[in-house]
Amino acid sequence: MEEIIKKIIYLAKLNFPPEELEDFIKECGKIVNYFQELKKLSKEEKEICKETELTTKCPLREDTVKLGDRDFLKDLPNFKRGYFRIKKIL
Amino acid sequence: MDILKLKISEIQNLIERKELSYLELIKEVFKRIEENKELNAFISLFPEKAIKKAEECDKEFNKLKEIPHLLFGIPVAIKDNIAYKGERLTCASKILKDFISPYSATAVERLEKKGAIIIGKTNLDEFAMGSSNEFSYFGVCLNPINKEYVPGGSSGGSASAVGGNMVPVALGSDTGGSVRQPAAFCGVCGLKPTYGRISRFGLVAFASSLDVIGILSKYIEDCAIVLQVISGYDERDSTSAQIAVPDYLPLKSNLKEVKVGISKDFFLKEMENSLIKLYEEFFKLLEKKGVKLYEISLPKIKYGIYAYHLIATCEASSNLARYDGIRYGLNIEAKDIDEFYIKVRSEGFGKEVKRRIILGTYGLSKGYYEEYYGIGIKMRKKIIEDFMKAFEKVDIILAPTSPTLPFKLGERTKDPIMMYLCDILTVPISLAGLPALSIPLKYKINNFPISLQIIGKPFGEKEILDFAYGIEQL
Repeated sequence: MEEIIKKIIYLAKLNFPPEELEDFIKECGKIVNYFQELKKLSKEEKEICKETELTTKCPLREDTVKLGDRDFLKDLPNFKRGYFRIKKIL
Repeated sequence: MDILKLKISEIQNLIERKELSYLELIKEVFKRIEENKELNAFISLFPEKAIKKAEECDKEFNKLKEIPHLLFGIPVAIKDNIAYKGERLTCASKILKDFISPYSATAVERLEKKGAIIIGKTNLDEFAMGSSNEFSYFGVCLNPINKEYVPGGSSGGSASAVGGNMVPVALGSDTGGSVRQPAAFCGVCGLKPTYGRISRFGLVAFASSLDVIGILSKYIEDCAIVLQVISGYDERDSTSAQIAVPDYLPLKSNLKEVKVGISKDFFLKEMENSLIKLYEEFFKLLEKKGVKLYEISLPKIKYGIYAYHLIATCEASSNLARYDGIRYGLNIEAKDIDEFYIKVRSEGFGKEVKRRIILGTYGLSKGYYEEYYGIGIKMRKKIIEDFMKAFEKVDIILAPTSPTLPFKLGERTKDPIMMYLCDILTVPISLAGLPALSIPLKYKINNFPISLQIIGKPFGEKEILDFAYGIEQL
């Protein structure tokens, strides 16, 4: 678990001072174990693990992509000639 | 008379009778905020802007000789993860501490269009991740009922501001209970609308399939006034529902007309007996008043807390990937781009946010995706089915908002799982996208009122507001 969490910390572009890292890994381990409860529960009721179809009226509707009439570029600071200026990074 | 303890309609009556001006009202708000500085409910305040607007409202009212809208000149606070053009949008995070929003959220635009005055932005758990408002870069927020206790979270600042009589209404956001739980802890009303009822445009994303903007108020009527204004379709939010908004006002008690469901599954064995007894007493009172109560079963809600934390952390890890120091974030010296990303994110995010990013990245990573996120999604479907089946039998479901009363500062910060369990009774409703309103009941333990969660069918805000109004009149 420790190695996996260390790898994920790197993938998530994060870093911890060494004195905090050990506690953090322990805490994450506890939470992951806690999530394992879900697997135990779902095994108790096997049908949950099968793909379920929503037969009921779900309040979540299909996502539709549509660009509005609003000119979003109007809101941008420092927008000139099709470009917007940002602060120096490096 | 304390004008900030009045309903919005009562404030407007005073103004109509020229016993109060909008300027006096706004000045009273800032005076009250100053007196309650210790609560740390606000991250930003806009006194100059607000006073100027109040003066304009007074002029307009004197010209029109009538109040154009109930929200005209009314002070409103907004949670600091909701955009307000030209002002800071910090999400209570170091990574956004100096970020200025280039636009306003649709909900804020709609409030301003009716003349409401945005007076400031309230404290929260960083990126709305927390249940106690102890995870804010800008410091802990306190409970106005007892300062040794947490106000709940993540909309703790909004709840503290309304509960502390600093503003009549405030906006919050609710992903797994972040409006309802702090409302319950601070003894105010907190509405989480149906997913899609209020536009999310301008609400900083935490878990996009769960996030909604909610309302905190002292009175049900005030909540309905705000909901009427900010609800409705918005083409800028692709998940906004194209469903007509009914007239929420006037409120009319429907206590004797609706079928009410109560499920034992909401009363956990870990809950204190004294608390459960008060709910039982209240349900007996409802029956005596002619309310039809039915026992219902919601067996899958026990999976809610697991499913919620899996789904929410996975969505959060994806949503928070944008904070890389280039588009948003801190300006830090680094030797290369990789070091830059790591430095910015490590210095910019607090401990709880980092923890959720790691857990979400873990849940989405190859080899674990199906095992965690996949199961979470299936559980969510089962929970939705449970609710829909129950709603074939009843119109409204009642449940406690929180399994416990407010806890003391620092009591749960060292145990993340205990903190996550604060939301055990609110997350199933969020997963199902249903509307729910938390209201304080008249029963108290250690001066903290116990709260009731009124859960409605999708887009059933009218029914739950009318029901809550009926309870308010008891």
